[in-house]
Amino acid sequence: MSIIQIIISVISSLLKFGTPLILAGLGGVITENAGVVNIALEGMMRIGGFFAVFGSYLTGNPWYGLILGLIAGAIAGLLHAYISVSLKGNQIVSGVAINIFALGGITFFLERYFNTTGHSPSVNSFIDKPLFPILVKIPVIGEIFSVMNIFVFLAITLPFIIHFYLYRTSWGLRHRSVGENPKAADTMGINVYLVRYIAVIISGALAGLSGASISIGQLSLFDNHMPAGLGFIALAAMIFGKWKPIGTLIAAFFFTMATVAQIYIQTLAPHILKIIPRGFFLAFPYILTILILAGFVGRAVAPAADGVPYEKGEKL
Amino acid sequence: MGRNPTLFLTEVKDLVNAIEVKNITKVFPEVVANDNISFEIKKGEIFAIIGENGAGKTTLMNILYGLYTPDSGDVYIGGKKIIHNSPKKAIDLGVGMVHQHFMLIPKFSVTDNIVLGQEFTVNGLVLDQKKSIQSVREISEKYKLKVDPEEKVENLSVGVQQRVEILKVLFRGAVILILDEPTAVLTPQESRELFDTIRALKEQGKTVIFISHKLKEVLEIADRIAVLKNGRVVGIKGKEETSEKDLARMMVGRDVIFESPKKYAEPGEVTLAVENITIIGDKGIPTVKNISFKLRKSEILGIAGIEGNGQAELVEALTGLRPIESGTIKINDQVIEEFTPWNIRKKGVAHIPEDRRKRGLILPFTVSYNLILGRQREKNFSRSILLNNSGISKYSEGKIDEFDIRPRNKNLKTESLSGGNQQKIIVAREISYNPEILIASQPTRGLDVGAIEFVHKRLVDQREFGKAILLISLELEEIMMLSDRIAVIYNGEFVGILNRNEASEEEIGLLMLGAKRQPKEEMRV
Amino acid sequence: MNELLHWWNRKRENVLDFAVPIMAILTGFFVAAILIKATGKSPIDAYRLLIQGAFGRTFQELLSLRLAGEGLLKGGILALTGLSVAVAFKSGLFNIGAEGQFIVGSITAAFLGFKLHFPPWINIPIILLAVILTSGLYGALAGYLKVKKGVHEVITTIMLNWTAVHLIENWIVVGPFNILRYYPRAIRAGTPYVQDNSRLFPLFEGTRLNATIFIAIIAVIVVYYLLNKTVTGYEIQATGKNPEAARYSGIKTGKSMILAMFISGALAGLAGACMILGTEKQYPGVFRPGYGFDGIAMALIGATSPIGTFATSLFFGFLRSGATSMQLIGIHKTFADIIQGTATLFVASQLAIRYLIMRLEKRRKPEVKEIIKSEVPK
Repeated sequence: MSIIQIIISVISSLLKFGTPLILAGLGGVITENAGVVNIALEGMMRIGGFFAVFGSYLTGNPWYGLILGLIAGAIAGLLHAYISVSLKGNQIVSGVAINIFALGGITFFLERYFNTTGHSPSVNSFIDKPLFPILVKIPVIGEIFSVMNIFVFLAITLPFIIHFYLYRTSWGLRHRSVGENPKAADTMGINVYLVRYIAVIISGALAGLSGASISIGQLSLFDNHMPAGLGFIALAAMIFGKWKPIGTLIAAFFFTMATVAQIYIQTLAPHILKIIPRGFFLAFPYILTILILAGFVGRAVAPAADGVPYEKGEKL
Repeated sequence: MGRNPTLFLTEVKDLVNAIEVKNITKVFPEVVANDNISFEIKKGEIFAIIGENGAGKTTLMNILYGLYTPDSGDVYIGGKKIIHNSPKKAIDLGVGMVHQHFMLIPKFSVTDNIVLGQEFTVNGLVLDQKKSIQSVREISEKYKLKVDPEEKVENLSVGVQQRVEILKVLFRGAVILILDEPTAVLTPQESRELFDTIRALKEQGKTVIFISHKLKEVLEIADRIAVLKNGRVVGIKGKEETSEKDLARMMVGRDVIFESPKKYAEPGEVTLAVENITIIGDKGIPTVKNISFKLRKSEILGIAGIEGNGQAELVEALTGLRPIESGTIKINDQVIEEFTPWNIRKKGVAHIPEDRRKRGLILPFTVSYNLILGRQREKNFSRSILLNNSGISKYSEGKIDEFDIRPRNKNLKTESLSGGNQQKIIVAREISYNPEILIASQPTRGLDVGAIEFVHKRLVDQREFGKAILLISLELEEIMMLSDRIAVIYNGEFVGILNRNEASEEEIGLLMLGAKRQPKEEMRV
Repeated sequence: MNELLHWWNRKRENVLDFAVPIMAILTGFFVAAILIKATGKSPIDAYRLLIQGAFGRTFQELLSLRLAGEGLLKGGILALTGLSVAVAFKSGLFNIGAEGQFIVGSITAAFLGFKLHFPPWINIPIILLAVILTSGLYGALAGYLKVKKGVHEVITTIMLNWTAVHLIENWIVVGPFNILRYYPRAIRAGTPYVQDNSRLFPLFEGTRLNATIFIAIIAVIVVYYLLNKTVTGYEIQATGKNPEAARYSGIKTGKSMILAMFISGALAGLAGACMILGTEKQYPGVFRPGYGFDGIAMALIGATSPIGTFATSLFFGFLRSGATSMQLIGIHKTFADIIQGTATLFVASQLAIRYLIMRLEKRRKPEVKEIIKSEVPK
């Protein structure tokens, strides 16, 4: 392989494997900027991933799968919003509960509908369905477009759209104000609960989409191990990206680099794995996130009211 | 028959009333914050509402602003009866509120803070920053409230932040402005500027509701004054028909005695010596600059000053919560090296913190557990690694009697006690610690008169027992009443240290406002 | 009637503490019943099978522990991870890292269990002490980062979970401590099997029940005493309930937190060790039974008290072992997880119930108006 070929192939892999991280990470960005912590990204991805396969299985059309996965994620988001916004429950407890629920619940569905606790049968998916088939024929860089299905496309465009939304629109300003100081937002006539509800539901939808991007974007089936911790890396990417959409995009690529590097090294230079075992590459994003948070590598600051339930009529 | 004449009358009256409140009652769990309150505020009037902490002022304002819904009673704004109020509705009706704790978003720019909720947009969604900045500039000039529209709020001084708050409500077209204790956080100059602004607003036809517990400033600025006590209106007076003393009597419910409960004692040797200390505040700039003083046995040294002039940081350093940048602190001639609460406590320093809920008590703990907080490793309360529960019980019962903590049940959770009784737990604990030095930081904040007298008496008693007491208070009367010497802090510096018998309230006031400065050599260090 | 009111006022908190977990579990059963019904099965049949599966059909069968032993075994493991989370809670920290501490304990037990050749009464205590140390330190690391660097423990423990998973399963278990290094013809993945001297053998014939349950009971008693009867427990709880005031009073809150996280990690590690020395006999290639996350559910449903957590754990232990027998009528055993998930969600929203009760009380108590306090809470 020539150097250029390797670079192109690495970029393609980054896009492919970075997509779920970006989508779920954006889900985190959306909700945490409205002041609701969502550590249930993992569970919501699992729910989205399963229902995407289920939708495709029922209809034979992966697009319906995508939509079902997105809706399932959004419903999980609605549940999280209900508990953490309306009932003012502990957001972390609620997130943990949804993760636990998703773990058992999806296994239950897998057994119920596919009679297995392993993986579902193959369904129609977005593999080999590039969004721009014409561009795939371009020599050399065509490979990049061959992996660019709808999910990858969304993953590289949404960060910019969300950035524009958060920092350039009136809704975005209100959205962030709720995450920074909900009481102030309330006194300015902004409906804090509504903003938070919408944010958490969209967050769930994005996490659901992220799950779908694995099950019907990278594969054509749902495996019971999914998403195997990707939801937590997405959380890490969001923190690494300083709670900002484009930052999260970059962080997600950075983290994916560790996984991709490990795959390429395995095929191209396996002797390196003798010196630095695979486990180190895989653990790298997590260790890095801890180091960043501990202030060894830069400092990250969350939105001021992140994780704080808001109660209208609270005594001043 | 024609129209009912009384009905007709009300309608006419409505035209001149900005706000009318009828029989408002609001109950919180265990507290009646507002009890059957009624009054009218005329258009273009500066109407002051005064009362002690906890009299129900803030609750009342939050009802007017729609943050709370009253349990019963009606509110009329501009003659319209308000049902199901919300801040949005209040804003629509022209009510604007400047909160005591600013409702600003530090990370946002001045403009973003002001336009939030009513942004200028192109095609309804995309922010029109240019237009926003322009319009902020315009109202800022119109009302002579100078701000830089593009600066981030976190970089502004408190006074300027308050301007932003006022601009916020003016931007929303407020005709009725509610200012909740606006001078509490201001320097004297800033207060003066604020009063000028308020008068300017009145000239422009705005109605201003001014909430305060400072009598002087209310008499200076208001047209009429309503006095609240225990959630009830105890009187509404025109500015001319009342006096400071009159208002004070109404607020407290009896004549206020400005008399010291203390006897004089001879100060002993120095136990705490602070030499040239400088402390860095949260924003990374020095908030205490080069302060020196000595505290002797059998004396109370009062530190007077307006809030936010470095008192909090000074106390934090003296109790080990904040490191000092330079200088030395000596306790009994020993230089303190390790600035941690446990080390300083070990040296015999007790402390009544200013915020009892945050720093003084573990609210979910029982009364007896709070009475031994910090002393759990002492012999009476533990046997090696185990707690000595019978020892703790016996001790607590004694203290509950001695300090009259009610209800008399050591096993109650502390959170179920009233504020005054919670404070008694702290006072009991800290005094029983038998310290050499007692630092009392706003020890009577938020207490009723009875509890205040109780705390004062205990502090004076401690002085009689030969303790050295450092009293930090925002209430000048408290300082004047209890101290042997008075230090005045202004902008992080001691601008004067006087003996009590040489100090007049007026002089201290001037020092507090930074209008005067005592020469260094005259200070009674 | 008046007496009843009086009693309610005094005991309100205790009653709520007790009512929430029970209502949570009942809600779980209710939701699961709907799902069973939706699959066309009878929830009543299912739950009858569940109970029979958990305890046995007859009294003799119950006493033989043939079935109940399995519930006790699972309950013991759950109790250890549940206590782990509960202890951290008491110091004000949310330990989501029990899973990571669990597998750190597991690999430690697998390693020493294979390497040590002393008689059981020396071997096992040494292994358990080593596990307490390694897992404890792994937990304490999150506490340290919280105290010294101000990093939120929820994030660090999540990150430490996956750090442990990858370093152990993609390095140690496939690399330096792989079974093939010792037994080149082995067909199983994972690490070599532990020595018989290190095993926790079944206590009764025909059951898998081993000393795990006793280790769990000892842990409950120790944790209960530690939290409620010792100075250290007082300091941990003061730290958890109001760190600022605790620090002000001279308590070394950082030390309390790190210590609580050490104990928390150690308990999770013990759970892992019990599984390796008891039922697994080696560290398998992939070992994520999820007990660490289950521990969060146990602690939350058990209202973070040691006793409550233990009771909840035993309950879910039986539920899981009993659920297997529901497969007879085609209901999958994973539905136990649904009950657990629902119950946790319920606990997450328990404030709603408290609000409801408070509102009911307010309506009933007009005399509240008479109590005028001098101070409005800020």
